[in-house]
Amino acid sequence: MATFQEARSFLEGEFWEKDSSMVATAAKNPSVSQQNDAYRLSRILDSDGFTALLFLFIPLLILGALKFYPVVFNLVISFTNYDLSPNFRFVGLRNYQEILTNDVYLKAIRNTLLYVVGTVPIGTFLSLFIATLLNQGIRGRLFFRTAFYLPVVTLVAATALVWRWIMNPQGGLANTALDSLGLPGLGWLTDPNTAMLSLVVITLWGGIGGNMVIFLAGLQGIPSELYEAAEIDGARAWQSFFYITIPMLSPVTLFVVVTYTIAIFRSFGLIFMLTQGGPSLSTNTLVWEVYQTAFGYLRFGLGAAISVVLLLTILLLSIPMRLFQGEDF
Amino acid sequence: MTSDLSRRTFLKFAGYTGVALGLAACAPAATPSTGAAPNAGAAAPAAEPVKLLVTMVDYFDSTKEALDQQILPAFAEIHPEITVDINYTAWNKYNEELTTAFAGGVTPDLMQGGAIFVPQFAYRDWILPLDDYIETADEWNWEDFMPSTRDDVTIDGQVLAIPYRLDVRTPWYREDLLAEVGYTAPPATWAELREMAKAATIRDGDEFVRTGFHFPPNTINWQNDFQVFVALLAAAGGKLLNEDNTQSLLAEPESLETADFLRTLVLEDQSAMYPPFENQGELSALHTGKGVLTISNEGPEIAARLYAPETLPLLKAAPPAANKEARTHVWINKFFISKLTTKPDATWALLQFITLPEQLAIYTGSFNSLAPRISLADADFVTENMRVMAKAAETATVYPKYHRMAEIFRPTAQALEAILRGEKSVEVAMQEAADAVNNILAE
Repeated sequence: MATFQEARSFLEGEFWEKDSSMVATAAKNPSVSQQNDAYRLSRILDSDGFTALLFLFIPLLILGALKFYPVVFNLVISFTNYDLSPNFRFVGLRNYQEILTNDVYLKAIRNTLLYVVGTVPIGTFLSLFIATLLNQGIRGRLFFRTAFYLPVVTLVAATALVWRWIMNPQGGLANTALDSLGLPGLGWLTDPNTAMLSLVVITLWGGIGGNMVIFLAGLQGIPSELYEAAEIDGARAWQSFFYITIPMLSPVTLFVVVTYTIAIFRSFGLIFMLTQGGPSLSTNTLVWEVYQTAFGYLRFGLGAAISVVLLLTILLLSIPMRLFQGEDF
Repeated sequence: MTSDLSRRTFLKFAGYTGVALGLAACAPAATPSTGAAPNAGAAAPAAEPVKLLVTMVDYFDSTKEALDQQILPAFAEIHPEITVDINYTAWNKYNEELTTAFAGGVTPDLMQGGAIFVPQFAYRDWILPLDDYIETADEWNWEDFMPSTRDDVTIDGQVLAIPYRLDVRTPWYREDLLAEVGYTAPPATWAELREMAKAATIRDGDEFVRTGFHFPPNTINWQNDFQVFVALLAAAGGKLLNEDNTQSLLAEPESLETADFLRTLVLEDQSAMYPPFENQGELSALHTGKGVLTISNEGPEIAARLYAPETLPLLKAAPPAANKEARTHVWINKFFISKLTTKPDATWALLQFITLPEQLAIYTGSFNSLAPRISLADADFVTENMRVMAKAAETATVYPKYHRMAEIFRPTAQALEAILRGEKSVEVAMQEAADAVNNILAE
């Protein structure tokens, strides 16, 4: 088996240096040259480095075809008016200009940010809060953990159907509850003023369990000696929480915030099932707009540009988060 | 006996094999025929076994039964060499499926399409022209298809699809609920429609108990009011685009009048609820008695037959309510053959067979829908309501043959939504929509 160093020396040309004297002899005598070529070829084919490359070829091919090619292709067509017709052409930055000047796309950017801002902080806080509660020795802990995690393993389609029924303005559970409290019913997903809020509520319901499990794992990794020492020093529960739990959980929190943010940016299923970007474009996010533009209107060039904007937005938010933390994760 | 096969040789051999297989897997598939000269009117080659893939999106369970038990077995008797695989899919993911299929170069041989598919696909050169086939298919009789439907599938002089269903929008009403408020006949004009809707509306404070006019709800938000708007626009003598598809007509008086009529129903008279009552399963407000009048295709009758037969005698279709003219709009659904098919003759044989009068009657009759063939106007499955709709289809408008119609729907629907929610005036909203559409047309 080729070691890493062997493969590296092969790639860096050490092999060729060793054979340089043979090459010099071959230059004077053609038959020797042919023998040397064959010898050199057989050395290459026999080398561990070549074997390593051979085995790497397929994974690299798959990685390139399935990961890099689509990203590069997407980037390239974002500068074209590609619409699956044979007559597409390069349009420079026109797609990006359209995104930054057209009200529909600007609204999609605003909605996406609103969706993220409405979901991630509250969702992270609630996940941590519930994880902290369920990390205590309370009765029925396993039941509650399972209950909070269940939405994560529930199909989006099923979730959407149930919530559609709950939020049905005519006789849905939510309005019935409001009615019993003497409050007026809401339009929920059918009212532009409440549709995004409703979507945030449903997303929070579906996402808290997953993050809760990550926080639970983090909480259980904090050495109990720290809490014992704090207790001996007279620290109160809230002090232990803020001065031990929160700092010790910061890498986990960062992980949750970053992955949750990315997940919300890319969230599609609920919007597809529940609102399709409506009413009045109030839940029209960048991801929905990519789908609508590319597959609804077949404007793949513009759709690609929107997805690049989405990617850049995610990067712009994720990089400062990482820099702020100052740690690898 | 010792083996010469060392571990290294074995690994290397495995590596070579892997690379070879990998490269073989990445090799392009055999190039499909992209313009096979059709063997006009001919059936599939006699002995050569052929397998066709068909994608259907317009069906009910009864349609599947009709295809499996009647249409395809009858086709197999004539063409035993052709086997047919049907992929049933849904409208809400259909565009995505077909787009991906064409982009990947692997498409069904025959597929169904909605009202605006043909220009969109023709622009991309995805559809096989059918003129040569039609020319020699005398008994099949192209002339039997309603003229407006033939025109709808003809682009630049080429026939690119075969219509199979008329999706006509006409007024529907609950006869009993209109009678309750003293009307024994459906509205013949917009003024009567408004008057009846107002009279039939029942409210309990701010809450609607019954809406005089009901917008048919749809899983796709923008279609609620847009489809009604397009149907009424025809009665107002209006159109979405000018003749050469270079100018939006949304800010023209006819469009403004139509949008204002809908605004009046919702905001002024408060005889229509917006957004409307949601369906209860497959049953709309008309079935549950919460709605009295609507503008719809044959959906109410189909749903009543399947899920609420007691309402069937109470649901009536009416001729289009007239404004400038008694006219409505029709969505024409059609079959088309992929230009990427490698079996154009066999595919045409199937398409020709399915759209023969007797087979089309079985297909459209399986869900009581209107067929575009004139000879089927009085078929056994045609109900009295369908006759009313078929009559309306004769003069109905169709969509402009413009390849970006789907994009044009959006600003129009947005404008209507803003009007009906009282967010913008008719003039402002429709002018904005017209500007947005003109921008699309100018590109």
